Formats: sequence, structure tokens, C-alpha cells
Amino acid sequence: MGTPKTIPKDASEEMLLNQARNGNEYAFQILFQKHQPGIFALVSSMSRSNLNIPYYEIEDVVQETMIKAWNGLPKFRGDAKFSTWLYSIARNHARNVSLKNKKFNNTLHASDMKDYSFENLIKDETDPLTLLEQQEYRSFIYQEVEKLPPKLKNVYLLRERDDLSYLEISKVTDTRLGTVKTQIYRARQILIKKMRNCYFKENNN
Amino acid sequence: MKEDLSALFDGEIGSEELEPLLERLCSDKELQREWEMYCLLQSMTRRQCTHAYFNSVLADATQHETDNIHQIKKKPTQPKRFFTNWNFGLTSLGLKQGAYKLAASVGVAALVGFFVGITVQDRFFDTNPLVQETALIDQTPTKQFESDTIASIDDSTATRWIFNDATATLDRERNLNKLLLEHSLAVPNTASNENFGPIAMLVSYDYQ
Repeated sequence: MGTPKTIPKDASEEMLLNQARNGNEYAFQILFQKHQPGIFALVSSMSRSNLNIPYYEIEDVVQETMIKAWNGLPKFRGDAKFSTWLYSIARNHARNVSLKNKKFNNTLHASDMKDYSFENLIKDETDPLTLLEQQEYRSFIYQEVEKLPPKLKNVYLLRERDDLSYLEISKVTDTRLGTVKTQIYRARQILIKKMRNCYFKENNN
Repeated sequence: MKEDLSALFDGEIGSEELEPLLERLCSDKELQREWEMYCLLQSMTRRQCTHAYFNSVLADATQHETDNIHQIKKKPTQPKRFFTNWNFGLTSLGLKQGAYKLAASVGVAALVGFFVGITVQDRFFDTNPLVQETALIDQTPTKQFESDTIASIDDSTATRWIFNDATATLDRERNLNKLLLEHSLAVPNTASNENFGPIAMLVSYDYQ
């Protein structure tokens, strides 16, 4: 078992990997933390595109990926990059979780899911003040979306509200795929700017 | 790169671009903050955003920006030297040694002229603030009922700049008392309010 003191601050990935292979959990923790943003982004990206993973399960998938990687570390030969290996574990695990969720959803009636889903349980425990805050932020963002240039607004709503893919949006709006990508990006940038302004106003008053 | 990140957030990135982008994301704090912003935006749209979450994400982003601005501001040190040795500025403009004396005297003359101008203007022109305020009130429809009574005050004495003139002060008090009496706002001098002067408006138990 390794300790923080045994690992130098500027330890390279190779050194950390070697130590982790020798059973140094701390070295593995550092190594995983370096790649965690990428794994998180990968899983949430997959969950948004086509996988059946709700947002509150993303962190669980990342954690389970870490455990799987730790257990599978002796099998890692080093042919590919460590990050590539981690991403492939995360991708496969996310697919498995998605399949499991799909199976689980099919065994229950849709109305049962509506009543006993985790999301609803969370909602029941939410206090009125939090609900009000959530509602306020939502209405704020929709007000700002309304002010977007028509093309950006249209594309952004098709993506966020109607959950269409870029390809579907490009067909609906009769625009190129690259243009859709740019328009969604630009809409997001405008909205982020508005959020920042809102934050400054709140904190200056 | 940020455009690709936006596409990644939507799960719309190509397999070839995916891995380099993820690796860049792991090392680039700026991209990580951008990703946080997308998550915040999504949570706001889905009615999952709380005040605490909103503030924590934006405080982090703002803190980073402020640090950057401070770093940029710290770099130039030249202006400080300019102000401590202000002769430097004039000589660099091609002026001879001693030209700064001429510039200083011109500056002093301009300042003296400015103050003399103000004094003359106060004495000979109708620029006292109360008169100007009265004129403005006259034009405001909602204040029309007040403007009649205020206009009845003698403008020549109703100025805040001649407090030392005892006669003017007495005249002013007389006019104000007249105004208060007309509007039934005057309070008779009693034991409890005698130190407040005749124009004080009091709410007291001995008010009849």
C-alpha cells in the first residue's frame, strides 16, 4: 500500500502506472483523477446521445469504471495508451448499464416507473424554496432563449427541448450538419454570457 | 476546440476526434470550466439548478477571470514611472528643459480663472440651486400644487449660500412659517418642542 509521501509531486504517468501495478492505491488514485474529467465527459456524452443512462447515474458509472480499472490493472499490457484503455472500460460499462436500465424499464409498466422512479423520489423530498429557485432559473433561461436570434433559438430548442440529434436537426431545418454544430455552440455561448451577467447582478446588489 | 466540446456534450463528436478531445479536457482547466458551464445550462433548462450550484460554478469561473485580469494588470509598470518623474513626459514630447515650468504656470492660471469664474457667476447670474430646483418643479405636473407656494418665497433671499446674513435667515423663516400655516402644518411652540424652532413639524401628545 502506497502513501502520499512515497510519490513525488511531479511523478510521470509511467511511474504512477508502475506503482499502481505494484499495488499502490494512492498512485492509481492520482492517475485516475487525472483522467476523471474525460471519463465523466465521455459517459455523460453517451448518456445524452442514445444511451439509457439518467443524469444521476453518470457519477455511479464513473465510480464503477474506476473499480473495474483497478481490478483489471494486472491485465493491462500497455499496448495502448492508459487513457484509451480507461475510456474503453468506461464505454463498455456505460453500455452495460444502459442495457440493464432498458431491461428494467421494460419489466415495469410505464406508469409504475413514473410513480417510483428515483427522480420522483428526489422531487418529493425537495423543499418549496429549492423548487422555487429551480423554477426561477428555468424561466430565466427560457426568457434568454426567447431573445436569441431566430435561427439559433430554433436550433437550440430542437436540441434541448425536443432532444433531436444534430442529423435530425439538420434535416428539419434544412441546414448543413456543421452549421447546426456551430449554431448550437453560438447559442450556448450567448446564454453563458447572460448567466454570467445574471450572476454579477445578483452579487453586486 | 470549444465548438467540439459543445458537440461532445451533445454526444455528437466523431470517434476520431473523441479521444484527443477527452485528453485535452483532462489537462485544460479552461475547457473543464466550459464543460461545467454546459452542465449548469442543462440543469437550468431541466429545472434542476439550485442557487448554490449556480453560484458555485459561476464563482469559480469569475474567480479565474479575475485572477487573469490581475495578472494582465500587474505586467505594465511604466505608467508609475511616468507619474513619479513627470518631467519625463514633457521631455519625451520634445519640449525643452524648463518647459514644464511654463506648463505648470498655465495650469495654475487656468485653475484660478476657473474659480474666479464661478464666483462671478454666483454673484451676477441667477445660478443658485434653489432657483433652478424651483424652475424644475414648476415644470413637473405632479408637483404643480407645491410650486405656487414655493414660488411665493422671495428668491433673492431663499438661497442656501447666505446663512450668515441674519436678516435673510429671518425672512426665510418667516416665509416658511407662512407656507406651513397655509397648509396647517405649523405646530405651536410648547414646552416639548421649543428647541426645535418654528419650522419643525412634530407629532406629539400635546398637539391640539
